[in-house]
Amino acid sequence: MSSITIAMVVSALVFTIGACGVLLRRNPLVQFMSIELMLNAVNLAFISFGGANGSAEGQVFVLMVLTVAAAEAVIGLGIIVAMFRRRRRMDVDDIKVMEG
Amino acid sequence: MPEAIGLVVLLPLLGFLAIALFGPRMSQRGAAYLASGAVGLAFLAAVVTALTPLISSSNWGSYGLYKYDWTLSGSWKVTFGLAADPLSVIMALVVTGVGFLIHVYSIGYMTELGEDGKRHYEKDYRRFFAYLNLFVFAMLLLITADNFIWLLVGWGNVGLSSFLLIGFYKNKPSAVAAARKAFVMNTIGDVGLLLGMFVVIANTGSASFSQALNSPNLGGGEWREWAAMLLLIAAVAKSAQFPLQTWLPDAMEGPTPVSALIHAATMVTAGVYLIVRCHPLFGESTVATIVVPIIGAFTAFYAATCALVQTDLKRVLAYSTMSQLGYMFMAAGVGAYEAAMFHLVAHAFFKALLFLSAGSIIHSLGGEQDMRNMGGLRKNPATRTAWIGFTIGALALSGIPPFAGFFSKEAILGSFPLFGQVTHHYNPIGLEPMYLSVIGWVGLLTAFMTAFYMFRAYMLVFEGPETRLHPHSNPGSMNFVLVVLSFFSVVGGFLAMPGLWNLLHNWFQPLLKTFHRGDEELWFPIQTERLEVVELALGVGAGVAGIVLAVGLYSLTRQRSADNLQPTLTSHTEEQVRAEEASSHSRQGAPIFTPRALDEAEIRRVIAGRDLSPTRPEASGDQPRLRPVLKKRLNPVKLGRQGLTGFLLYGWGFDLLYNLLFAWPGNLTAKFIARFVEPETEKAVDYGLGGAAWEGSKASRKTETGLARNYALGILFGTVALLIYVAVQTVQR
Repeated sequence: MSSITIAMVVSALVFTIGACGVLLRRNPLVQFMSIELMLNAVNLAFISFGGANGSAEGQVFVLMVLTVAAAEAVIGLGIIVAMFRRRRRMDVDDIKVMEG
Repeated sequence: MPEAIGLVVLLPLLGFLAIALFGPRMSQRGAAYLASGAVGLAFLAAVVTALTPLISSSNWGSYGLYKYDWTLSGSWKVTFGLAADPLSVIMALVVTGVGFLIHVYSIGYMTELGEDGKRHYEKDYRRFFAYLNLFVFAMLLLITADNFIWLLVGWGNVGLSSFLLIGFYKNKPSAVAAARKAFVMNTIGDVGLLLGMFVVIANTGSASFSQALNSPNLGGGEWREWAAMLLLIAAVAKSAQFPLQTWLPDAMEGPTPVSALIHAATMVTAGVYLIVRCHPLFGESTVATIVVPIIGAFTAFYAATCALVQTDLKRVLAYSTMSQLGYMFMAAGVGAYEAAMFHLVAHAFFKALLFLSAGSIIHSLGGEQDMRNMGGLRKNPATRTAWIGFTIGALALSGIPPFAGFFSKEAILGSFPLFGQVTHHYNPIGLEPMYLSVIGWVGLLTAFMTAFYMFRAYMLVFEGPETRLHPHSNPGSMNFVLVVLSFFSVVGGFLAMPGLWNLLHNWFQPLLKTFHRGDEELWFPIQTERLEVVELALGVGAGVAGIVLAVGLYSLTRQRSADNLQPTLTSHTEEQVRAEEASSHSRQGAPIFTPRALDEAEIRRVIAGRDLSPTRPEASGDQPRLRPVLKKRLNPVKLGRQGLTGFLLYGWGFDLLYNLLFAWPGNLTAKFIARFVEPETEKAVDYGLGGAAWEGSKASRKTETGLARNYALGILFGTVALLIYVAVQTVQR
C-alpha cells in the first residue's frame, strides 16, 4: 500500500467519524469538535495530494482552511456560550423554532 | 458631406431627451427655443447633406453610414445604418424645414390670450415641444434608415408620437378617442409592414434596402406580390388611404400645429415614401400596379366628396390632405415616382401653409373651428396675414398657375393618358390604356372638387357677413412662418414643369443607379419632351371651374344660409377644453389624474365609439346661440339633400360600418366573456391554483423540522448522491 492510499484511508476514516459525530451527538461542543475533525480530514487529503503531485497548492489551501476554521471557532464558540447562558442546557435539538 | 445626416437624426433626439429629462428645470420659453433650435440645426445639417453633390460627387447616395451590428443571430445580423441618398435627403429637408417652421409657429400658437391682455403658456407647454421633437426624430429615423428593421423602428415611433400629439388635450374625451383610433389603425399598418418585411428578408436574406431590393431572389412570382401587398397595407394605414382612412379626420382633435406637421406635411407622407423607397418591389408587382392607383384614385375622389360638406375648417383640410395623398398614390402606383415625390414636397409646403393659416384664424377667434361662425375676415387687420396665406394655399391646392400645386398636380395628371393614347405615357406592365385614362379622369374630377371645397371654405371664412366673434391679432412669429411658407408655396413648384423642364430627375439620378437591376425601367420621370396642351388646359380648367362655381354659389345665392341648416360635426372648441382644464385644475385637493371632464357617461360614449355624436350639447350657455334651430318640416328634396350631406359629412359612414363590423362584435364578445366565461374561470383559478398551493404547502411543511442535525443529514445525503453520480459517470467513461 502506497503512502497516498494510507493517507486517503485515514482521511476518509477521520471524515466519517467527524460526520457521524455531527449527526449523532447532541452536545454542540462535541458537534463542533466533530466539525473540526472533518475539516482536518480534508486538510490531510489536501496535503497528501499536494505531496503526491509535488505542488505547494495543497498546503496553501490548508492554510486557508485553517484560517476559516479559526474564524469559525470564534463565532461558533460565541454562539455556544450565549446559548448555554440562556438555557443552561447543552442540547442542539432544543432549538427548533424553524419547525414548520 | 453625407455624414451630416447623422446630425439630422441626432439633434431632435437630443432635444427631446433634454426636455424630457430636464424639462421641469427649464423655463417654458427655454424649452420651446431648445426644441425649435434642435430642429432648425437639423435642417441646416440636412442642407449640408443635400449639398453633397456639389462638394464631392463620389459619396452621393451612400448607404450604411454610422454602421454597426445591432443584433446578431447566428450568421444573420441586423445592422444600424443611415442612408444619405436623394430620396432620404429630400424627405429630410421637408421634414426638418417644415418641422422647424411649425416649431416656431407653435411657440406662439400654444399660448393663449389671458383676460389681463397678456399671453399665457398653455398647460404642458414643454411636454408639447418634447413630443414634437420626438416626432421629428422618429420621422427622420424612418426616412434615413437604410434597412427595413430601422424603418420599422421609426415607423412605430412615428405612430406613437402621433398618438401622443393627437391626444395632447388629454382631458378631452374626443381627443383621447381620436388618438386611440389613429393608433389602432396605424397598428394594422405596422403589422403589414412587419409581415411584408419578413417576406422580403426570408426571400433575399437581407434587410438592407440596397441589398434586398436589388436581390434577384425577389424576382417575379408570388412572393413579390405578397411583399408588395403587405407593405401596401402599411402605406395605406400611414397615409390614411382607403380602407384605413377613417383616423385622419378625427386626428384633427390635436392642436393645429400638430395637424399641420404630422397629419398634413410629414407623417402621412410616410406611406408614399415607403412605396417610392421600395419602387423596385412595387414597380414589378403586377397586382400592386393595378391596386395602388385604384386605391389612390378612389381615396382622392372619396375624400374630396367628404370635404365638400364639412363645416369644421380643420376637417376640410384633413379630407383634402387625404385626397392629395390619393393623388400621390395614383402616381406612385403607375411608376411616376418623381411626380409623386414632387407633389409630396409641394403639398408639404402649401398644406402646412393652409393648416397654419387656419390655425391662425382659429387661434385669433379663441378656438372657434366652425366655418359658419366665421366670415368677413378678409377685412379684419388681425387676420390679414392668415388671409393672404390661406388664399395662396388654396390657389396652390386648386392647381392654379403659377403656384406650386399647379406644377405638381399637372405632373401627376400628366402621367395618365386622358384620351387613351399610348405614346410617351408610362405603361409598366402593359395595362389597358383605358384603365389609366379612367383614373386620370377621376383625378381631374377630384381636382375640380378640390378647387370647389377650398373656395367654399374661403368664402365661408373670409367673405360674407362679418363674424360676431372678435378676432385678436397673433404673435409675430406665427405670421412670419406664414410668410415663409407662402413664399415656398409659390416658388416650390418650379422644380419641374411637365413638358418643359425637370430638375428633379437629375436629383434622383444616384438613386436610380443604386436601385435599378439591369435594364429594367421602373422609374417613370416627369416628361419633358412634349407639352400636352389639351391635358394642361383641362387640369387648369377644372381648378378654375371649381373656384368660379364656389365663388358664384356663395356670393350670388343663398347657399351660405343653407349651409347653416345642415348637420354639423364640430367637436368642442379648444377654448372650451382649456376652460374645462382650467376649472378642473383649480379645484383644490382634487387629484390630477381624475379630470372632471371624464364623467362616466362620457367615457361609455367614447368607448362605444359614438364620441362624435352631433347631438353634443352646446357648451358655455352664456354665449348667444349662433346657429338657427333646425326647422321641423317634411320636404323630400330637403330631406334627400340633408341625407346626402350627412352621408358625406360622416365620410360615407365608414365609421359606422367599422363599428358594426369590428367594434360591435368585439364589444359583444367582451360582454359575453365578462358575463359567462370570466366568473367561471376566475372560480377555477381561485380554487384550483390556490387550493393546490395550500395543500402542497401543508404536505411539504412536514419536512421542515427545525433541527440542525436533520438538515446536516440532508446535506450529507445530497453530497453522497452527487459523489455517486460523479463516480458512475467516471466509470462509464
